[in-house]
This record gives sequence, C-alpha cells and structure tokens, in this order.
Amino acid sequence: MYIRKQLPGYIGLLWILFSFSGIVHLHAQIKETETDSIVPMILDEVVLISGKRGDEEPAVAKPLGMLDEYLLQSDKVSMIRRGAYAWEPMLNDMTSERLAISIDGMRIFAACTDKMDPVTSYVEVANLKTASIHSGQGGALYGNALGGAIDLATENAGFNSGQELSLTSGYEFNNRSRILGASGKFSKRKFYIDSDIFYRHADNYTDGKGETIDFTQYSKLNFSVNTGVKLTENSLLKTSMIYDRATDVGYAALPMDVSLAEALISGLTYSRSEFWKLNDFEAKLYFNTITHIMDDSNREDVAIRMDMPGKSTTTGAYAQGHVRNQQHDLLIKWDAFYNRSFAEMTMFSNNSEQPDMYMVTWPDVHTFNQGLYAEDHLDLRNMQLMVSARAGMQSFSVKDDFGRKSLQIFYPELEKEQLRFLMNTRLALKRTVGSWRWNFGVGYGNRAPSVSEGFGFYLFNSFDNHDYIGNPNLKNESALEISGGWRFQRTNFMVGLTANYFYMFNYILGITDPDLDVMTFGAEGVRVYQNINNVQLFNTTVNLEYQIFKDIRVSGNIAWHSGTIAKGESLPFISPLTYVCRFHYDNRFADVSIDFQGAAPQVNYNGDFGEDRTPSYSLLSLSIGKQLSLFDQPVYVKGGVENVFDESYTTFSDWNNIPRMGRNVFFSLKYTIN
Amino acid sequence: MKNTITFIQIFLLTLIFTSCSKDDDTSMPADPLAAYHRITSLEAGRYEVAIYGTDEALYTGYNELMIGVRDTETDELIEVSDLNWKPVMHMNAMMHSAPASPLSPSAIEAVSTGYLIFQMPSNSEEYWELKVDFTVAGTAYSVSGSLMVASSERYAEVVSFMGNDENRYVLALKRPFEPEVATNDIGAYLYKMEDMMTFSPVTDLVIGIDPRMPGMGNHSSPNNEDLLYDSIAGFYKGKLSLTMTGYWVVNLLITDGVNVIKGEEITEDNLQSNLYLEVEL
Repeated sequence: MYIRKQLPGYIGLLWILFSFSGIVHLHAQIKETETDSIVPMILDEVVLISGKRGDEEPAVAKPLGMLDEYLLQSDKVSMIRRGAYAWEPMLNDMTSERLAISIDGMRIFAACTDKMDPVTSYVEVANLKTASIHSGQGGALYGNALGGAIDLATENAGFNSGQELSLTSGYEFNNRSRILGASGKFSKRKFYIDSDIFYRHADNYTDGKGETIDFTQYSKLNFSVNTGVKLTENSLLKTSMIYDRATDVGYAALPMDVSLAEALISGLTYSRSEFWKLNDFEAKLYFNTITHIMDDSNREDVAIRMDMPGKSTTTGAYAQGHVRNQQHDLLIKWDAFYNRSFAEMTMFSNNSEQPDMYMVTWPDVHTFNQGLYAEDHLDLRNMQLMVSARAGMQSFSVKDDFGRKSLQIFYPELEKEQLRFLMNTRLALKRTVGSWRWNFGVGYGNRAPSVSEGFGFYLFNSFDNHDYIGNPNLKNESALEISGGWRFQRTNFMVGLTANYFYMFNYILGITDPDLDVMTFGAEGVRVYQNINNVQLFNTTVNLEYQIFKDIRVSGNIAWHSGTIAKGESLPFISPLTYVCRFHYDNRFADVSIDFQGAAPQVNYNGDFGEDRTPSYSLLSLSIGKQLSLFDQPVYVKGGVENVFDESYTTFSDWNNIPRMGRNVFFSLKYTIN
Repeated sequence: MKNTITFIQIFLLTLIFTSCSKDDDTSMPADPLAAYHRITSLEAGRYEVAIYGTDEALYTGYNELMIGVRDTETDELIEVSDLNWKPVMHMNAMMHSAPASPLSPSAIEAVSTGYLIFQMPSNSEEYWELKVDFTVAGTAYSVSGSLMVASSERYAEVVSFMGNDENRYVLALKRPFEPEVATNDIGAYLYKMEDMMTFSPVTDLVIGIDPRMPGMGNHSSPNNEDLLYDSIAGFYKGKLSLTMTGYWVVNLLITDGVNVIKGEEITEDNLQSNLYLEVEL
C-alpha cells in the first residue's frame, strides 16, 4: 500500500534521477573463498557483483558497471575488446574454447562465428550475485576446460526477505551512456519472486585524443525473473529466466556490426537438503537459445555486403550432491548438455545479374557432452587436500547436408558423426601454519575442439587477417598444469604470490596453408586449425594489501604472463606486465577510491597473428560514493572520473589496436524502497 | 437408380479389364519413351523418326537424346539397321556439322541413344538440320528436318577454340550437371574438328580446371581434379569444388602433358584464362 500511495512521486523522482544521473564505478571486491568449513575452493576467486541490498553493502553496490568491468577485477581475467560492448573474457590468457562459462552451472554457447557475443554479454549485473573464477582444472566442475571456468551466479530474493523496489539510473559523459534499471522482489515464507529490468544505451565514445571512435554504440535490454517455492521444509523448486536483447551494437575493430543479439536463458532447479545418502542435492534442467545477426548495413565502404546470422541452442541438465563425514566432503555430479550451432553467410553480389554467394559457416553441429565428476575435500591437520576427476564423452554430429558437403571439399572422408572421450583430474593441497599459507596443485585435462575449430568454414579473423577453416580431424587438446601460491597474512597486512604453468599437448592453433586461396576480400591467407605441441603458458601475480588505518586500505598487484609456441614464438594475446594499485577510504561519511593501473609495453608479441608492440600506459581513476536518505529510504549516490588524464592508449587485447575510451565522468544513483 | 447401378457395374468392369490388359502388356503397349520429352519427329513415308530428349528442348552444348523409328501403320517402334545421324548448321555464309556420338542401343527396346553437341543456337536465319539414315527390311531411308536449338539457360557450357596445334576443338560439359557447394563430379567431351563436317573424339589430352569467382576477388577452391579421359565411360572425368553459391568461371588449361593446347594459368596478373566454362548455382 505504501508503494502504491507514493507511486506518482517515485515516477517523478525517477525522471529527475535519470536526468542527472551517472554510473557507479566501485571496484568489486575480490575475495578468496575462505570459509572455515571444509569446502575451500583452492585458488579460486569470487567477484561480488550484486548490490541489491544497497543499504547494507554500499561498497559493493555497483548495479551499473558492465559485467566485463567487474570480471576484470580478477587478475587472471583479461578482455579482448572489439568495441565498447561484448568483451571476450580470457582466463589465464585462454579464450572461450578453453573455458567453461556458465550461468548458475548452465552451459551456454555463443552464436557468433566471430566471437562477437561471448556468453558474458547476455547477462546484466543487476541480476547477478557473484562471478566465480576457477583457474585451470579447478573449473572441471563445470565442464571440460583447460584455462578454467567462470560461473555467474544469479541473484535471487530468497525466502522471507520482504518486499523491495529499487531504481537505478546512471549516466556516463564520454559516450552519453544512459542506464536505467528497476528491481523488485516479493518474498514470503514459502515463495519468492524477483524481477529486474535493465536498459543501457550508449553512443560512440571518444578516445584520449578527442576523436570519436565510430561504431562503438550499443543498446541493451535485459529482463529477468526468478521464482522459488518451498515444497517441504527440506526441498524447494526454483525457476530462472533471463531475456537479453542487444541491438545496434557497433564493433569498431571489425568490418561488421550486430543488429541483433538475443538470448533467452531458462532453468528449473530442484534442491533438497537430503536425498538418498546425498546432502545438498541439486538437480537442474535448462534450456537456452541465442540468435545473433551480424551485418554490415551501417558501413559505407565495403567490398561486398554481407549478412552472417548464427543460432545456438543448448539444452542441458545436471544433478549433484555431497557425501560428508568428519574428514571428507565428496561432491558427485553428473551433467550433460546438447548444443546445436548453425551459422550462415550470404554475400550480396555486386553484379545484379549474378546470384548471391551463400555459405554455411557452422553446419548445424549437434554437440552432445556428458560427464561424471567427483571431487573430494579431505581435512587433515593443518592441511587440506582436494582431489577431483571428470570423465566425459562428447559427440559431434554434422546435421546440415549443405554444410557437410561444403566441408567435404576439404575433408572428403568427413564422417557425419564423431565421438571423443575426455577426462580431467586434479590434486590440490593447502597448508596453513600461523600467518603462512602455501598451496600447490597439479592437474591434467583435455577438451574437444570447438565448433569453429572443428567445423568452421571460411571464418574471417580481422585481427590476423586470415580466413579460418575448421578441422574435424583434430585431436583433443590437453594440458598439464602446475599451480602454486604462497601467502603471508597478518590482521592488517597481506602479501602473496601465485603462479601457474600450463604445458599444452595438441594445442589447437590456426596454421597457414599456402595452397588455399582466400575467400574474404583483402585477406592475407587461409589458416586451418592444427594440433601443435610444446605450447607453454605461465602466469604469476604478486598481491599486496595493507590496512593502514581503520578506514584506509591500500591494495595492489603486479601480474606477469608468458605464452610460447615451440619455436620460441609468442602466443597471441598474452598480456604484458600489468599493475594495479588501489587506495580505498571507507567510512560512514563516504567511500572514496583512487585507482592507478597500467601495463608495460607488450614486447612479446606475434606479428604473424596480427600483433604489434603495444606501448605502455598508465591510468588514474577516482570515485566517491555516499549513502543518503530520501523519504526515509536509502539513496546511494556515486560519481567519479575514469582515465583522469585523458590518456590516449590501447592495450594488448584491443582488437586491431582500437583506441580506448578517454576521460569519462560518470554518476549513478540507486534508490531503494523497502 | 437402375441406370446408375448399371453404369457403376460397367465402370467397374472397365477398370478390371484395363488393369488386366496392363498386366498382359500385349494389346495396348504403354509408350516406353513417356519419361522423355519429345523434341521432334521426321516423316519418312510410312515411318516416323521420333527424337526424344531428357530436357524439353535442345540447348547449346551437350544433349543426350533417344531416337526411335515408328511404323505409323502399326504405331509401334520397330528395329532398324544402319541407324546414323548427322547434324548440320546452315549459316548464312557456310555450313558445318557438330560433334555427334554414334548411336547405340538404349535400355528401351527398339530405341537408340546418343548425344549431340551444338556449338551455337539456331535463330530465324541460321538453323540446325538433322539428317537421319536407317534401313528397314533392306530398304534404306534418309530423312532430315530442322531443329530448334536454344542458348543454354546457364552460362557457357560449350566452347569451340583453335588450339596452339592449329587444330580446332569443341569442348562441352556433360549434362545433366547440377553443381552443389561441394566437390562435384564433372564430365566433359572433347572433339577435334577434322574438317567442317567431321569431328573426332580426342582422348589423350588433360583438361586442367581452375574454378574462380570473379565477384569475390577471384577466390578459388581447393581439391579440384583435372579431367582425364575415362575410356570406359567415354568422356573426360574430373572433380570440381565449389565453396559457395554464385557465379563461377571454370578456367581451363588443356595440355597434352607437355605442350599447352589452349588455356592459361591463373596468376595475380592473369585473372582469367582465354578458355573457360561458366557455372552458376
């Protein structure tokens, strides 16, 4: 009733907020999941995202940053940027083929042959609680991954938490980014429903030289609904649904844009505290479908007009539960997914008398993956041990005849179906003695080729300027992994070092075939995916954190990465030395952060893959946030400046060296009505 | 009412009778050429030479034809001997023939099969004439009539050219050829023109192919196979890979293994051979 009476006032207020609003740009807190229980996720990180309970945790209440920006808070994550939108996450310098990216454990596969729609682009921070980042074989819980896993957990109201309505609004001056969101929840003892709607619209941004970067605009609408019903005291049913629709998305670094990227993601979860001998039993059934329409209708000068729509549909299920006793915590999980990926390309003939050129670029590949996973945590004195293993099978079936015959031009013996067996295993231990802590892990795993790697047909990579042909005869790629860390921690001081090393067998990389002729205008050559051996990746980070006073904290890290191919050449997209230093002041008056970050020049680059020496850069960003009150309801106001000195820069992972955003002033407001 | 019943009875009887006669296959033979399109028929007294094709009309290039002689008195196809045919083009200034296969028995009784390769279409002033000779019961007959030959609906599927060896050749794609985005089996016939009226098959050359898309920066495809003569099939066989739909130029390079008879290699400076076929899909 209270809400209804006040509604006209709130709508008016919303408009006022919208007219002078800005973006919250808090830094997500990254915490190692260290609980006292015996479920430590050794070396894994959790990026906190949600700030639904805005009044309780303003420091992490950043409803308006892009998910991509949150994920970057992890020092293991970097982003390949092709524009201002839909950045492609890399974990341990590995991209989506080598990662398992999921939402609440649901596997989703992008629908774009050119990686313009990573799974992370189909969600919105408003309905996410955390992003768990599992490095290397630590990600095997979610699938056959080598680089690791990123699992995004959606926020839900939970039972018995009352009603709440919150409105968020933001504005960024650089690209006139307008952000508007609303969340509502209704929660009773045995039932809850919550819903978010979020809209962003941005124009082209301006770089540090004051030049407008064309084709960096985007619009995105995201809508989600979660419900939960308590069936009995020990069991409950949850549903989740996300609808995401991005339109008119520019990709400044690419020759094409996206007129529509649409996803419908849904899941049904049943959980109960005990089932047979299993504790915390959870079973899930899910379905998601993605439609991605790539075209070049906004580009003026093109050699040939083309449309490249793609579609990816995934159905999956899993069931998991724990067996616990005093020393052990054994998690057992069965999972399966069935994905269909189809993509095509039509090039419109410049000569109206000649027919259009049509190709099937993903030949309706049906992928079925099924796996059994188990991990056991063993609590010993001063030491925790974790052993995990996954055994799985993955089958591919090429369903589209047109596409299959096309691929048979290259592989006359191509079979309609193929079956692969996959396995992952890991041993990790953690030892704590006083203020000192060590951890060590060793793992081995493999993965099947992705749809593009196995069955792609003339997929153009505008970074290395080559057409790529898939190779159905690829062997599984595998990695041997060693990771370790050391940390010294006192109440107000922490210093730590982590490192991991991957030795890859049958690493899948595009190798130029001089006998093949390019399809794309201006391409330099054609690359076919091949297995190569002796690829090595090494990542190390030094972390430092110091609580100088009660309100003031300084933290920072320096990360160094290396990736080499046998001949000593560098792998593409390997980060140079990067550093971050944060100064954070937080008390009841306000929270202030000063952020200094940058990178050394990228000296280890691979020109064959389109890279060049990226110069160093350093950036300063500031933000200040304050909790206010309006009509006895909390309002959180945040404002700040990114790239204060308007530095003109580009990073190693900016596709074709597109310049990054220059100085950007942002504001945001969040108003919560309980 | 009674009439209706009688009618139904007659109707049923007719049905039974008709089906019986079909089984017997004696009194009313179904036309064995019904599956083909009638192109033309030439009158020779009591005999009629019927020519059937797999297409509704004749086109430039390769045409597979069925030919039978019908006795108009019995309306039955009859066995004949010494069956020969010869196409002649009557141009304004000259006459010439076209490559024609010998006629051989087909799977259908009393019907022969063969092919004609027309180098050019007919028009209002210039026309193709087909002369057919045959012998029935010791009497030789010769009959001729004009043929309408339309331009191939597709692009060039036949080329005639002067080779570097000073011989004139005719090359035609074997039809039906329904190319797909795939590696296609492709067949071709190659004839040498001995004189204006005589063409002889050539079996010892290599027909090199290099398919290209002029509309796509002269993109080419992998895993093509040059055409070599298959003596059992009686024509040149090769493989043509097409990576997408659209307009393709199949550049040709004909050699005797050492010397180039006709055609050019495709290079960055030479985007098209002086001898090519065209394919559209």
